Amino acid sequence: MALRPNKAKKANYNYIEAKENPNSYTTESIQKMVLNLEYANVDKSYKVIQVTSTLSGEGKTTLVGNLSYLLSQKYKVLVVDMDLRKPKIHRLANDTNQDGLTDYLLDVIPFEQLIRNYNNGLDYIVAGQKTSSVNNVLRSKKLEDLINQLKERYDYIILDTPPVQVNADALIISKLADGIVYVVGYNIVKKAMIHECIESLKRQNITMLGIAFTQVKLPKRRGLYHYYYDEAN
Amino acid sequence: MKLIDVHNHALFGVDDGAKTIEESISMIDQAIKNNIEELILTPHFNKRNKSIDIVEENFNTLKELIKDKPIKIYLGREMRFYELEKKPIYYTMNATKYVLVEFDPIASSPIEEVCYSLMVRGYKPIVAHIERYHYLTASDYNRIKKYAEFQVNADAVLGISSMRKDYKISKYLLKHKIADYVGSDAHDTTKRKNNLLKAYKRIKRKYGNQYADYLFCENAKKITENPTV
Repeated sequence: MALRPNKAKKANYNYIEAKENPNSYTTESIQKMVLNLEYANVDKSYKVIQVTSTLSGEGKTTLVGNLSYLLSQKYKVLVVDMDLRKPKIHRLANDTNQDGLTDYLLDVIPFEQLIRNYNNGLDYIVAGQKTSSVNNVLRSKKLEDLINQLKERYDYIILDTPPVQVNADALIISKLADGIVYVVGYNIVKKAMIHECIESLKRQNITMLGIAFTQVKLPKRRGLYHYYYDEAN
Repeated sequence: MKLIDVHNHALFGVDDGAKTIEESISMIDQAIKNNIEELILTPHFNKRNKSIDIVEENFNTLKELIKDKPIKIYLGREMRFYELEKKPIYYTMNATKYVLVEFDPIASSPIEEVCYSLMVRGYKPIVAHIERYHYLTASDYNRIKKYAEFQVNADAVLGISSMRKDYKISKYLLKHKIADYVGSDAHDTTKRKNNLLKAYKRIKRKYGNQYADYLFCENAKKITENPTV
């Protein structure tokens, strides 16, 4: 009965393209990203991967969902929600934001309750209840110990973090991570701003694994060649 | 058309609504004059009003007193959002899965988060007097709409609420058919009285018969008719 004035532009977080449409163009490009990650990671030296961007709404959480889903087909993967101010990972799994990372760090719940299973090979940790001292939580020794402990259990740990431009959280977390995947949304941020943010990350002595370009509007494909690939899908 | 009121503070002695039994009964008489057939009493549940036993006791005495009158009453609660965060039991509308939630009208509160977590736990949130939250934008309504239903106050529809902007927002919500319920939010018989019939007539004239019936009766029937939903 009730109509909507303009269609909601933001898609549901629980929709994972790689799961629903395993042959689509988007999934193929994320698959390429998985391959690139494997090439960069021949020595298995990059275990903790941080995903961040310049501003909010560039597609971090969506990328984390798709990337971790595809990685989990080969490896044991853990996704940790480090965005303690606006957590979203629980929405990927249709879950509540209870009993999460902050609850564990404040000794409310034990370690056994922390990790939840999404899929075969894919686990996740939600952010937990909101705290007013985000900086203290992120700088704590207990978080560092937790990440070191988890490194032995999993092949990949993917950290979903806040954007760089907004607050200092992403820079603090970058000390825990081995490498960074930087998300750039198509036609959202000025180039100079991206350069500035990447510079500030590099000052923390961090390895940039690469840049993921999201929300790209493809031009209409012309010619005869695309028929071949379309039929294959 | 017989109307259903989903938001009313006519229960005596529990919140800032009716003070005494007599006031309660005169408010219910006023509701009958407004063509209301079914009335859901929604006392506040917030920092100041946390009573549970008294509410049920007063509700039962009131139900006994007005059993001859042509009106049915049901019990619900209007929950403040911070009371919902970490409690397993909620005080729902007529023991259904529907929960009437109110938020802070001045400081922007996490409406989407609260509604989402309620939905995941199996509840169906209704955002009370949504026109009072001036900090919401058009895209916010669309996002919250995925998880919750919206209730608009009758006073805002008529343009006699304390804020002029309430009227403008309620006009937008009705024009685009985003609203799902209209409630009276009556607190007494004089200052914040029951204006549901006036609002029904205005919506019928401006936005059509079908939508007015949906807002005032058909949609609310699912709360009053089957208490297991």
